[in-house]
Amino acid sequence: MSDLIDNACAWLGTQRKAYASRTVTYSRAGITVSVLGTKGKTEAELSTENDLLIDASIQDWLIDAEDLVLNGVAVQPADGDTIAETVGTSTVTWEVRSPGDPEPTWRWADSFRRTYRIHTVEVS
Amino acid sequence: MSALVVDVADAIVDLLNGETWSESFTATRTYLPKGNIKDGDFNSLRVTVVPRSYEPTAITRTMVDEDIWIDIAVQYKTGNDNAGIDTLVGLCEEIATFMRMRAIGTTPAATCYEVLYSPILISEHLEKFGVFTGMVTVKCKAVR
Repeated sequence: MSDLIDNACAWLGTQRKAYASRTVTYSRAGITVSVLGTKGKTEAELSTENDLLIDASIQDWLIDAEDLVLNGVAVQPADGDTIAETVGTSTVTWEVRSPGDPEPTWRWADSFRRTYRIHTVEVS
Repeated sequence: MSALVVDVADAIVDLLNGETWSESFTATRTYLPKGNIKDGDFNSLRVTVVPRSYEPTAITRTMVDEDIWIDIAVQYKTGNDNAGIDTLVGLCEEIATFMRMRAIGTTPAATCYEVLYSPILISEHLEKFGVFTGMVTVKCKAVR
């Protein structure tokens, strides 16, 4: 008997990509791939460590693991990778970074390991 | 009347900007050291001098011993590049060495008699934003 939850998650994933995503450019060391990404949690981050304030915008991206292929090789997200999106006539660039311990740079967005939830910070 | 803590901070800015360093920068003084990643505030070397505290202690009926703490923050968006971080750790040590027992040309004259460079960097800034932040804290003393 098939796993109904697995099937439902797969279906939801296709709907998310079809109706709630945009084309973005995922880059690592000059190698790029166009993928469909869905914006997740967005928030402002203000680090006040030692009274030194760093202001930043934080954004999560949902990207299917099967789409993240660079130079023909499937890769996992890594610190320093970038995601560029077009907003109007501008390009907004997000850099993959951990939001801080204990949260890693990315984690699976679903129990069936189809989609990455990637944490990023706006860099330009 | 200008505050001694401000005079000392300004004098330290002048001292830093009058030196030649392994990495060039122009130090500035601010009360609120704040930068924005997307505005590119950390895309060039940023050295900020921040007046922190002032503690006068009477040593006789007519003399006051004045302790002044100043932070010198060194910041740059290095990412996780170890070589880049090494360079900035070196610069912070350079600044710490330069400031040790340094005479500060204020009235009354102050001397920097204690220097602390700890921790080496703020790990939260590096992990979350890819920004190296090293902070050298100096303690200066004046007597009047």
